[in-house]
Amino acid sequence: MNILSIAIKEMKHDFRDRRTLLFMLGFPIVLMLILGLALTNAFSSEISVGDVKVAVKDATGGGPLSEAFAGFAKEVGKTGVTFEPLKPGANGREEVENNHVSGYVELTNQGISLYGSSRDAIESNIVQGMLASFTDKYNAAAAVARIEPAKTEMVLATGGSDYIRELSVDANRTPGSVDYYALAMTVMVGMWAAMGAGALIQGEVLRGTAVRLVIAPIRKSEIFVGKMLGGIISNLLCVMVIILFSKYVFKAYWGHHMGVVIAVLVSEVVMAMSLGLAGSYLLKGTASRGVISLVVQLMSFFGGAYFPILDDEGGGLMGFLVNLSPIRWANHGLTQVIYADNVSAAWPVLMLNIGFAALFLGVSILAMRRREGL
Amino acid sequence: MELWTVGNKTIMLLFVVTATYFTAAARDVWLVFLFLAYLALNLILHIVKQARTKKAILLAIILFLIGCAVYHPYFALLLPLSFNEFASFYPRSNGFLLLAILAPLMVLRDTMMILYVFAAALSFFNYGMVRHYMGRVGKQEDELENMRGNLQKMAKSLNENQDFARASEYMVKLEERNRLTQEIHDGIGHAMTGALIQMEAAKRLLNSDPATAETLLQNAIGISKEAIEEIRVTLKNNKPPVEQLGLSRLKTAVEAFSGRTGLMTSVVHEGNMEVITPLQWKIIYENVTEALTNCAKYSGATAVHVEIRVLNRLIKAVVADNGKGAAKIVKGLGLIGMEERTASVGGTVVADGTNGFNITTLIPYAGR
Amino acid sequence: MNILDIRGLTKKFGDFVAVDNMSLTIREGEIFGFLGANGAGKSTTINMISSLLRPTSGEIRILEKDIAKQSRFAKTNLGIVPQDLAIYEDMTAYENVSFFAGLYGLRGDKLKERAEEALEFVGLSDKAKSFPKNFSGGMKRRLNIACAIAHKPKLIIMDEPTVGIDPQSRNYILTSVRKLNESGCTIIYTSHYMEEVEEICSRIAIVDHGKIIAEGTKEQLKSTITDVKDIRIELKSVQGTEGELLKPVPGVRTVLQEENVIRVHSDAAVDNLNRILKQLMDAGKEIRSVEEQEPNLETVFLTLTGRNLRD
Repeated sequence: MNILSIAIKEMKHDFRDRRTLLFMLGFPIVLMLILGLALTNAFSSEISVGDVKVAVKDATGGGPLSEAFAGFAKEVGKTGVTFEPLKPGANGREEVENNHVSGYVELTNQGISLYGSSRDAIESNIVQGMLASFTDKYNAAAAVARIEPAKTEMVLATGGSDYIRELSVDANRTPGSVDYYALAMTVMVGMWAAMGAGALIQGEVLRGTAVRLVIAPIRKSEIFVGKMLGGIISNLLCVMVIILFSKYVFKAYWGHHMGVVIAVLVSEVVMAMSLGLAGSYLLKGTASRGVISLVVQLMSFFGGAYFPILDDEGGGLMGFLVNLSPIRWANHGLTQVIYADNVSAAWPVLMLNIGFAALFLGVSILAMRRREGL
Repeated sequence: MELWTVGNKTIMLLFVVTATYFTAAARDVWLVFLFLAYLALNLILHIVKQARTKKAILLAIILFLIGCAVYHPYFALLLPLSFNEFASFYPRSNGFLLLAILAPLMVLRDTMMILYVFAAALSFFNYGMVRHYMGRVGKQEDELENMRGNLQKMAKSLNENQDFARASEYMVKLEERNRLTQEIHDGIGHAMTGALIQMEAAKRLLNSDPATAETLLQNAIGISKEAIEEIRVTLKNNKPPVEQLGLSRLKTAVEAFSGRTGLMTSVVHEGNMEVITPLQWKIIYENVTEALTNCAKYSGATAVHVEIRVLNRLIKAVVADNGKGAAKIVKGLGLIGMEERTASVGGTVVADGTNGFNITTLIPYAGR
Repeated sequence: MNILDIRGLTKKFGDFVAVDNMSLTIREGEIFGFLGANGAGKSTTINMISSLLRPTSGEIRILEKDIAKQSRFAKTNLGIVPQDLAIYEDMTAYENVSFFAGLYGLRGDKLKERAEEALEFVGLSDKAKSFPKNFSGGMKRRLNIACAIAHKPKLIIMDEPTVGIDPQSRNYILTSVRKLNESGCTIIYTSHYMEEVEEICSRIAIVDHGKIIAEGTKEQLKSTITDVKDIRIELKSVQGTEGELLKPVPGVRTVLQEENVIRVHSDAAVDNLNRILKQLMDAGKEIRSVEEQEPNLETVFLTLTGRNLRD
């Protein structure tokens, strides 16, 4: 009960402080807008894939697979993906290795084998995706043929546009600039909780009210938990406002796993609060606020909140720093969740955040115990 | 300290040796040479005594290690140890030390970098702690030495004081006895002798001339009366009033202090000194002399003022100097002693350092 | 019953002894004044009573229960008005009071009732919904008091509650202190305004360098210095018979005469000025001026410590 009333009081502070609130909400939204519009070209979603050439070797010697594949090739040909028969005497795999074609398909009676090129990753992905949907269709058709041969044609005939639809969806699933910044800003605001948390205890000391809290017949842990809870809720509300704003006003893409995204953000806010709290306990005095906000800004910068930092920059001091930033973890994990439907990518981020939160909280509690007063 | 650094260095060296020599595919004779050279340099380091030579050798070791590190990067792991040793000559420059230790990070790569960071952190922490504790041990030893000296001095002065007190007490008693004997002899002795003679004469004349005898007897009675009166006066004169005893003793002590130290002193008293009991005088006397001693030792004052005031329900004794005082007073043994003494009669001692040093003893008394 | 019992309380900050082996007993119903210069150890003592600081040694009992062992009990019975304002500027007066009272376990209607009562008590009912940032210094101080009394503590400690406010608010606060005391609260009041302490406190301790150097009612304190008051009466003319005239008045000890002024030394404990004047007037003396010099706490402090309270 005491915890709850302290949490509510804490939220009153947060939401009555208009300037900070404006900063917490306005700044990321404006930044999202400016950076999202200014840096549109820096993102690769607009790259044209161009014509994709795939070599085909038909080793089935005719038959339903061969026929169906021919139909599929014709249909798909309209979108710029051309399947050409392998020139006699040429080795399909070598062709791929030498980058003459983007992929090489072998049709046998056992099935279809695809050799993709790791150089043209996007093209290979596209081809792989299309082939996967083709085989699904073909298998379905084969099953139908066994029972009701007449309907086979129908199944295959309706296929045409399906391949293309899937293709186009695939192409959209890399983040555009607004999408990127919507995510980056949200994650950054989550991390800003650290700055508020730095002032959580010190604010009471500065206002003189720490005295009243300590002399009241409540446990220090209640004060502690109540304040944390209030801070976490306020910050989460800010984060939610930014998510909703970006989703409905800027039409940013947030994927299909909102629950997971929010869970990651919750863990991030908790971690940030603990970081700020530990900071304010370890670095006494008002200097701690400066240090905490500096750290948060550095994290934002290296975590790619202001401009994207490339994936493959491992090694070196930069890569080291980049990977230290919790904003980076969250960005990375959430990109996977949103754009690759890879929910399991959220786990390491959650675990890291919760682990660090526990660590920082432990440090704060130790420091609090040793201190007289609050 | 020595043993600690040698141990640290040995462990690190063994690690480097294991990591380079024994894990390499081919036996590298150069490595053996470099290790031996490193060992030799370190041995010299521990043999020489002069600080300056030590520093020179340490620099040489550092340069040598840098050279070796070019040949085989693992040598860099030995660098932090030498940096730390070098820094131990400059106890206040931890920042520079850290910078120097971290400098090689710029050139190291990958695994080496990580190894180096841990080696450096470990040695920095180790040396830091060792230095910290060595400093503390040194300080405590100094303190112990000081206290031992103090104890000796105190014991000596205590002995001397006791001897002196005993001797002077005896002297005073002798003198006093002498004076009393003289007084009794001069005054009462003479009178009694006179009376005795008169009475002898009266006895002889009792039958022949009763009238003269009566006069003689009357004389003897007069003389005896006078003598008794004189005894009373002598006794009264010889029993000094308490307040005079206390105050004059205090005054004498303050004057003696002034003579000893050359400080200006003044003693002021106000109120009815008679209410102060001998026990209270004793405490006041001891507190005042203790405060004076402190004043001479620490205050840098040129004048001390002693004031005894008997208020309505309190006796107040103040020793105030015009020295530098103290913003925050740290209680020493002297002050604690005063407090304990004063607490035994229900009083308090307040020490104030805001305007010169000022020790006030407050003792309550029952009043009339 | 003793509401507060302090035995051998000591607090050291490093080598510095802020509170030095202090012992003190306060009975229920008193207004106890803590008098001392800045840095004398008043606030440190109060902080230890309110468990903001841990004593280096010694024991504190509130209502005969050790606060180290039964801190919840002690805290529930204690209300503190801190020297520095301790209110949230961004919460209304009512929210402030009810938040702090809520920490003492008050809930729902009872909380509301107590909070309103406390605001009423300090005269801020009409400002319940206003934010303290718009308050004057005196109003903030009053709110500061309201926050400490809403849970009806048995012992209220007020640490310099009148620093830096206008005389009107000051009087209001002093009146509230008396009213609180009449309603059954024991109050510990610290101040370095001598007059305030002299005016409202039933018992006073003079604290210097972490020690209580004198303690008692103000009369007792004054009598440690002297129990003589000095009355100077200027007459139009002096005959020399005034001494005989005043001797029978109770309390009068000596009468001196300096030109046309007579100086009467009298028992400070006896209130006899009126009788002295009546005696003179009945004898047809014409009085020009009267000046009574009674020892006050300021002189007590000065005499005992050799320093002024406000240096």
